[in-house]
Amino acid sequence: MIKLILAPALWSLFAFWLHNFYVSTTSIRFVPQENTLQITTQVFMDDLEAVLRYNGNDKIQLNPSDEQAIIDNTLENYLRKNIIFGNQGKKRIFDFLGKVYKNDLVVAYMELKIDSLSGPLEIKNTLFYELLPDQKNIIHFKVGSKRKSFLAVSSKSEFEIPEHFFSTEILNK
Amino acid sequence: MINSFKVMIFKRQNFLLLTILCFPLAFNAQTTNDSLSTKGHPNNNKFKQLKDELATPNVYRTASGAPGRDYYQQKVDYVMDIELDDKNQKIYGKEEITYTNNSPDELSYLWIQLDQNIRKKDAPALEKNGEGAEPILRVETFVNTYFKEPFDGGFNIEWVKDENGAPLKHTINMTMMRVDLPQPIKSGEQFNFSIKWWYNVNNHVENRARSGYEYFPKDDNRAYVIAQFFPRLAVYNDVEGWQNHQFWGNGEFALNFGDYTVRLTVPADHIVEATGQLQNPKEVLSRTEYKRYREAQTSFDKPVMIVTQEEAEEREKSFSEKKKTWEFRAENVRDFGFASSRKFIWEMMAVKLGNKNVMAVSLYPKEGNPLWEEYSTKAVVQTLKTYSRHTFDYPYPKAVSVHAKNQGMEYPMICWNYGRPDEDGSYSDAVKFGMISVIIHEIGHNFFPMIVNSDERQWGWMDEGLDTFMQYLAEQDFGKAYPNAIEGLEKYPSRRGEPKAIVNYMSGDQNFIAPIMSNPENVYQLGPNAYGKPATALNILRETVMGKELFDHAFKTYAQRWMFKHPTPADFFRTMEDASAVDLDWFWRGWFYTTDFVDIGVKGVNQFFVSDEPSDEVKEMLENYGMTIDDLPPVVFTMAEDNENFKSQYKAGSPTDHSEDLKSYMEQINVSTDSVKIPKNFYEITFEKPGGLVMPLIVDYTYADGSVERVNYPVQVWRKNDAEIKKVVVTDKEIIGIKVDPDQETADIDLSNNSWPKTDAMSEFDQFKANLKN
Repeated sequence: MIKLILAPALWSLFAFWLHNFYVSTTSIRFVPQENTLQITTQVFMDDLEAVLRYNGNDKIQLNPSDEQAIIDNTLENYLRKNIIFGNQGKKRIFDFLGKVYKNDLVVAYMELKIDSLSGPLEIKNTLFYELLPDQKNIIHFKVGSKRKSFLAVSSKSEFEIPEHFFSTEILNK
Repeated sequence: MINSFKVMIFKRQNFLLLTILCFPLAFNAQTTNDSLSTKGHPNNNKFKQLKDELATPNVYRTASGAPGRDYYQQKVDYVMDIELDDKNQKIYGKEEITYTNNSPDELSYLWIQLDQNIRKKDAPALEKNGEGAEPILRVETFVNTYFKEPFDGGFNIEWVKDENGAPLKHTINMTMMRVDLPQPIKSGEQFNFSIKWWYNVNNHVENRARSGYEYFPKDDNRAYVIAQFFPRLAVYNDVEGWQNHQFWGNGEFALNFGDYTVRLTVPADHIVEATGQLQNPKEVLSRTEYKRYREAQTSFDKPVMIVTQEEAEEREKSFSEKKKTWEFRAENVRDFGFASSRKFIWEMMAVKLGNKNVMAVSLYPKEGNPLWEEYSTKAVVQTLKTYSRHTFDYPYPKAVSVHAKNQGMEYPMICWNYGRPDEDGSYSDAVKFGMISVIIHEIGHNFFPMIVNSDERQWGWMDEGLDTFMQYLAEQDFGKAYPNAIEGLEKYPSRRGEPKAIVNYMSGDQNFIAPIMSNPENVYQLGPNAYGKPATALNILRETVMGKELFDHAFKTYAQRWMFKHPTPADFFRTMEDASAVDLDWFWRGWFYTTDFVDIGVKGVNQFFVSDEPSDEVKEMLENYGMTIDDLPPVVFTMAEDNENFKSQYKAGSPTDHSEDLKSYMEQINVSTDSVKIPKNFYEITFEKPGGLVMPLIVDYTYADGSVERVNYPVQVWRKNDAEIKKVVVTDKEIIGIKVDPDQETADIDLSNNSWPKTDAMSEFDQFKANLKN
C-alpha cells in the first residue's frame, strides 16, 4: 500500500524546471444586459499542442500560417471537455466563437447564455491535467466592479460562483 | 536657521496668516480634528525604510551591498574518477576532496550534500505534499507510480576516508551527510579526504528528474545528461553557518567554488561534453575529429561540425566493448555536469568576448534535427553576448547546449535543453521558440547563479528571477540579430518580462500567491513566483522606475561585485540603490515582500477659476481666527465650478479680470504684460489607488487641439496619502482626456479606471466578436 501513498507526490517532486511551470488563465465576464458570460481562455501554445497530441491528434501543429479549421475544431472539442459550466447539476453549453494566436499564447473566446439560473453557477476547469498534473489554471470572474478569483489544480478543479453575483442589486452597483 | 528665527518673532496674527497661506490643509485639519481618542499605530507607510527587513551590515557584507573587508568563502577542490556503466545504467565514483577553511571559525564537522538521495525509495520528500489523490493522471505516470516498484535510486556510499586511508565517521541525514573530523579544521587550514560511491542512473524522461538518461528504443541507445552525481560539500558562510535546508525538490543548490579535475570513463564510442576544458582531445578523438576540433577554435563566423549527423548515425550501431577516459579540468566552478552518448552530433564555434575567445557548443542526437543544427549554437552565441554586455565578459572557456527531451537544466558551462521536432522533421513555432528560449535561459544561468553564486536553496528568485529578466533582453536581441527566425512577427515572442504578462498572476486568488521573498518549497505557483514576477519587477525598474542608464549601471555593479562570490537578497537590494542613488526601499518592500498589486486610476476632474470673492470655506477659516479679508496681504481666491458661491462670469476673460490683487501684481512684475502668458484653465485632478503597490504616476493629458502631453509624477506623490491624491494642472488649452499608465508599463491589473472621461473601450472579447461579424 505504501506505493499508493507515494504516487501523487511523485510528479510534483520532480517537476521543477523552466518549462514545467504550466499556467492558464480563464477570464469570465458577466454582461447583465445580455445575460451572458464572456469567456476568454488563454493557454500557452506549446502546452496546448502537447495536450492535443497526447489526446490522439498526433500530427497537429499550431502554426498560424496553416489551415485553421481542423485546429479550431480540435481546440473546441478539447475546451468543451475541460471547461464545464453547470447549474444545479445540469450542464450549460457555451458557444465557441474562435481563437487567436498572440505571441506564444492561444486565446480562445466562448460565450454562455445564463438565463433561468437558480443557485450558484458551477465551473469546472480540468485543462491539461491528464498530461500535466502540476498545471495551475487561474480563473477570474468579473461582474461590474466585483471580482472573484480561483486557482484550479488537479486535486481541486470545481468552483461555485454564488447566485447573488448575478442578482440585480450587484449589477446596479 | 535664520528663517525659523524670523518666524519666531512674528506677531501672533502674522503667524496665523503664514499658516493659512502656507498650509491651508493643515489649518483645516486642526480645527476639525478630535484625534485624541483614536488609536496609535506603527509605521505602516509604504515608504518606510527597509532596514528592519535586512541584516545589519557588518565586516562581511557592507551597507553599500558590496562584500565587506572580511568577506570570505570556502574553497572546495575535487579530483574525481567516474565510470559510466552504460549496460547497467550505473555510475561508480571516487573523489578526493580538498576543503579549504577560509572562514574565521574552527569547524569540527563537514556537511556533504547527497542530492541523489531524493530518489531513495523511502525519501521523505516523496511525502512532502498533502493534496491527496490526483483525479487524473497520464497513463504512463499512473502505471509507473501505482503499479511499479519505486525506482531504487540514491547514493550508496562505500566509504569515507581521510588522506591516510583511515575511515572517517559519517552520519547520513536524508539528503545530507555529516563527516566528523578527527580534529577541527582551524581557520586557514586545509583538510583532504575521499569518498567512494555508486548509484543507479534513472530515466529522466520517465520521472522528470534534472539528470539521468533518455532511452531510444529504435537504436537501443541511451543519451546521458548527468548531474548531482557526486557527494558535494555544503556551503558554510557568514549568513547561514552550515547550509542545513535539505533537498526537497524545488529549492535547488547552494554550492562552493573550487577547481575540478574529472576523469570520465565511458564506452569508447561515446562522445562526451562536460564542465571544463577537455585535457586529452588527441587521445579521445579520431584524427579527423581532432582536426575539426582545432579548426573550430578559430571559427568565428559559423560552427564547425566535429561529429556530423551521418557519423553519429554510424556510431549508434557500434556498441563498443572498450572504454575511453575523457579528462576535464575546470577552475573556479561551483558544480560539474556531463553528457555522454553514441548518438551525439557535435558542433562548436568561437565567440570573441572582450579579449577572450569562448567556444559556443551544441551537442544533440539526430532526433533534435533539423531544429538543433539551425538554432542551438546561435542561441548560445546571442546569450553570451547579451549577458556579457549587461554583467561581465563571460569568464569560462566554453558554453555547451545539450539536447535532452523535456529538460531545461543548468550547470557550469553546460546545460540540458528541450525542443524536439516531429519524426518527419517538421516543428511548430511553439517548439522552435520554446527551444530557443530554454537555451537562452539555461546558458544564461551561467551568469546567475553559476558565477554570481546566490543560494538557490533559500532564494529561488535570485537566480531564476534575474536570469529570466536577462533572458527577456537576450530574446529580444536574438529577434533583432536573426530576423529570419521571427519571420512574420514584430519581435521575439517572449513569454515573460513584459508588465502586462504578469497581471493574471498578480490579480489572482490571494490565498494562492506568496511574496517573492519566500522559500521555493513553500510557494503555490513557483513559475510566476520565482521567475515571472521578479523578472517583470526588474524590467519595470529598468524601463519605468529608474531608467535604463541608472538601472544598467547598478545591475552591472551588482554582477561585478558578486562575481565568483555568494550574494544575499540584501546585497542585491542595497547595491541597486547604492549605485544609482534611487531610493528603492518602497519598491523592494511592495514588490518583493508583499503580494500587493498595482491598480491606479483617475477618479475625477475639477476645473476651478480665479474669483473676486473668497468662497465660504475661506471666510469660515478666517472667522475661526478672528480675522477679516482686510487683514490679508494680497491674495488670489479660486473657486471650483460646483461651489455655491461660483459666478458664471469667472469663466470669461483672463484670470486677471477677476482679481485686482493678481492684476496689480502682474503689472508690477511685468515690464510688458505680453511677456508672461496667463493660462486660462485650472484643473484639479483626483487620482485613486485601489491597489496596494505604490508606483510612479504616468499620465497622458490630451488637449482640445489634439496634442498629448506625458507627465511622470514621482512615486513619492503617494507617501502621505496611499489611497488618493490630487494634482493641479494649469494650461492654456482645455483638457479633453486623461489616461493613466497609457503604455501599460506598470502591470496595472484593472484598466477600467485608467481613463477620463470613462471610455467604454471595447474589450478584447467584444473586438473579437465584432471581427467575426465582418
